[in-house]
Amino acid sequence: MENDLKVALMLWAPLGMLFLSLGLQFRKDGSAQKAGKILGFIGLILFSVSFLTVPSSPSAASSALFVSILPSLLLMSIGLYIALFAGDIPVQRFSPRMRPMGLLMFVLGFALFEAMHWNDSSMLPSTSWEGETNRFWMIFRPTFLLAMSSFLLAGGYIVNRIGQRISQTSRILYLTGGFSLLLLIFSVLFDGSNTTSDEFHNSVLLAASDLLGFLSGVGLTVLVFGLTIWQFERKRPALNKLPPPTQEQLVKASDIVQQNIGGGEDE
Amino acid sequence: MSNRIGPRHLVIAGLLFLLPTMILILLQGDSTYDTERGLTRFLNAFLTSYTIASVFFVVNMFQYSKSRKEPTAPWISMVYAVIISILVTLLLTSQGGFLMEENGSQRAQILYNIIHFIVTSIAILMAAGIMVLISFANLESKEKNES
Repeated sequence: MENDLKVALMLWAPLGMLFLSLGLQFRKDGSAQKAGKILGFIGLILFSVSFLTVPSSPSAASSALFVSILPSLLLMSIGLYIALFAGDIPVQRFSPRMRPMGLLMFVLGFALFEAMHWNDSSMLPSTSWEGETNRFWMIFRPTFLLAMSSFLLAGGYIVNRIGQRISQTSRILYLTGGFSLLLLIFSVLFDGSNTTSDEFHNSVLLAASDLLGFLSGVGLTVLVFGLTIWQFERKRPALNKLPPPTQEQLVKASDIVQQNIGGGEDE
Repeated sequence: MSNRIGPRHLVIAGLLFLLPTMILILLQGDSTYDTERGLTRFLNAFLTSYTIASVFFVVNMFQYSKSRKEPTAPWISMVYAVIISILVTLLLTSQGGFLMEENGSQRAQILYNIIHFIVTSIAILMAAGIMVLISFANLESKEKNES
């Protein structure tokens, strides 16, 4: 009982704080958003160390995995962020000379992530937990690679259909998606440092179940709530049947427009 | 080049989305995949994502009701969500009882489902984020490309 309480306080409460922080980011109130960020930061730190504070909980393996994959995830995300905002775009934030560095960071992050599967070096973040392969690693890696190949291949096709500035983008999406699929195929054909190809193959098929279950669940929710909103929206008069705006409404609209244009430091 | 996306294009995109899974199933050969476990994982992922996404949407419906002056909107959406979830849960669990994996109790399974959902969500969001960032990081004028 005492252990349950400790797990609740050291692992589940920080996770709750993270969800609460996410919710607070949707509030318009600036102070609520700031409080949410602080709460989220504390929650993240407490959750990250929960594999040390409550190692007896089976869920603590997820915290150990989170800490192990954090360097590669950060390298990939920051690298692509730099590559994006160093490009030839109107909202450029970095010098164009930093673009190759951003792309290199992404490649290094991805290489580190893959090295964790193929190499058992003590220099790399560990994928083990209590002497065995972390069971959440056997969920995360297959899901990530499978989702990446699926999204990138489908995305490459969609992007090619919708825009004018897309040739290069579409090719790169296909290429990266194909590379990710190739890594999956290698993983189901050859043993990794801690897992056999058979184990991985099983995991990747289970990851496909997870991915499809996740998308179906979220899809059904969107459908249910979309129908509810549609039910309310269809009762409203069409735009061309609305009376013209009053002076008071025009002033209010002008205030809102003024608050949202003109550009701050960020723009 | 057409800028419109028709049903045929969506079907092709869907097939491309499923292509990696289909290749991996074809490569399965004589390896031992536990179909029942796969189905349990699908159903658990489905129910957990439905529940958590519904909570998120219900919270947002309060905001919607305030901005559109529709005070009943969150309650009606909650009723719909609950009715659908009861129907789906009854339908999915009627065959094999509670959807247990390798966990000792129902409480352990529910907590495991939440952690599992978070791990899967991070993997999926990371993959989707990479797709979006790669797309925008490589935007280049088609005209420039062709010249």
